[in-house]
Amino acid sequence: MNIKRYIFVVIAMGVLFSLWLFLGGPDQKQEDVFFQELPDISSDSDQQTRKVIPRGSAVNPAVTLPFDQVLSKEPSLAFQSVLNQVHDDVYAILPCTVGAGDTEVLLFTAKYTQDPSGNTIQPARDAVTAWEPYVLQDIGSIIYPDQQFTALTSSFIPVSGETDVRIASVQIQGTEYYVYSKWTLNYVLFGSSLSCVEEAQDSVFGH
Amino acid sequence: MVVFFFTSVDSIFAQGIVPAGKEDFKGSGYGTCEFVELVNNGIAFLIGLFALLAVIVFIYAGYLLVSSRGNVAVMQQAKTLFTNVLIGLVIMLSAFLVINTILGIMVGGSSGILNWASPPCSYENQAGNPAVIDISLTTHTAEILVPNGDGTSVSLTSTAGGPTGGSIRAGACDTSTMSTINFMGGSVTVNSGLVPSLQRIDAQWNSSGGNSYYRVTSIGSFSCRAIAGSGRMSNHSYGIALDINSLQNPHCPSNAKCNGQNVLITDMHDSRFYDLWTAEGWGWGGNWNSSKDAMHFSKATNEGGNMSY
Repeated sequence: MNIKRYIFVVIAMGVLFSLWLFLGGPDQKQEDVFFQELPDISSDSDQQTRKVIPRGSAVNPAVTLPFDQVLSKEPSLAFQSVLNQVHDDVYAILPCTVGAGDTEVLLFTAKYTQDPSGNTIQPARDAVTAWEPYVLQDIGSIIYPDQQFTALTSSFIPVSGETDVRIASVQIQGTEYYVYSKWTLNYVLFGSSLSCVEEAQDSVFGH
Repeated sequence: MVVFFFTSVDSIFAQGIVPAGKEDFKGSGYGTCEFVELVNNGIAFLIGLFALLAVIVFIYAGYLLVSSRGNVAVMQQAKTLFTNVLIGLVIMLSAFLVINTILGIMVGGSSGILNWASPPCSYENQAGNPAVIDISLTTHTAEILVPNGDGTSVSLTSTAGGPTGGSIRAGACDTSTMSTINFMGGSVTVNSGLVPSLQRIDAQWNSSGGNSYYRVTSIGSFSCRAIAGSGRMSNHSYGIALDINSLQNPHCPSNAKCNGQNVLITDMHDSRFYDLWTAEGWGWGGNWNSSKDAMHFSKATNEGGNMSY
């Protein structure tokens, strides 16, 4: 009887150990480093990916497609100017957990530009400012998933007491949709509320 | 129980029960923070271990019950095993939950399992650093000293920020101590005393090929802010820490990209890039144990650098 008990305990431990292996125990210990991979755009999946907006692209490097490939429609000319001034593979679509609705924040990284006065992101800022009326037309469906915008936004105005934060809105069937933009370093973020934008900003930085 | 065991044990073995502490960094040692982390790890390990033992005993008791063939004594033995182990588990988990809740409330109101003891050793501003006390974002000026070659700190009046001597002035949110320089293809506002060091790093990066060697898409240093979620002033407030490519090098485990794990995620494939920094006396957040912050380079000793407050 004692031998049976010992055998049973050994088998039970074996089962548990197998379960541990199945859950990926030792692999996670040995492979603690994850390198960012370059986007895989070599396949013929372009038409498939073009229709799919990869949420949280900064969260999952595997879906970091060039940004123009995630748009579901042809962008405005003003937005094409913006895309020339930002890194098309260094952007993020970040969830907003502090807002009332299901909205997300889009973040672009402006390219540094050499000019006689030094390195600057002014060309990117100018391009974004020129693009402001078309913001919701071009990226509204990212900030407000599944919502389509056809109207131009109102003029962006600075938010009182905030540095580099601007707000605009558009009304659709009696509902007011807001869009906030905020510059921090060479990042520009667009979200449905200031708290969403600030939450996304905090998530990007560490210590 | 099984999930808890595997989660806790895997997490503990991934990091080690005994914290590596500041031994990873130059000339430091263990402190209260590491002791708390050790206790934290010990508790998590013991709970996981006891949970595993309980599972084994449950399985054994079940086996006894099934194989008793109507033997009342054996059935009774199995039931007794079930009952005793269950009572033991309830007592253990209740005691843990009570302690966890009380300490969670006492230590800053954090929630969750064992959050009162973590993140304990971020090598951030510790007690005694005026920036910890002064979180109202008002200006405070501190002297930063660079250790001599023999490891002792000296106070010199020069403004050199090199790896082996000199001192710089740094004040939390004090813009008068900052300079804006061109750096790695962009521009960055940093503590003025660190400009020579950064210029040397920039020169080496350029001579290595610049962006074709390591593409820098974003740089940031001075920022008058607290560490997200902590309330403690960041070393960015002093302009003595830089973030490089923060999207590609997220802070783990807090960033969603890390899936809650303390893993190193980085686009710095070539260690020679961060070697440029460590050779200049900058600490790299990718080398930290308590959390991985691969975007972060810092001169402060509490973050692996060679300058102490």
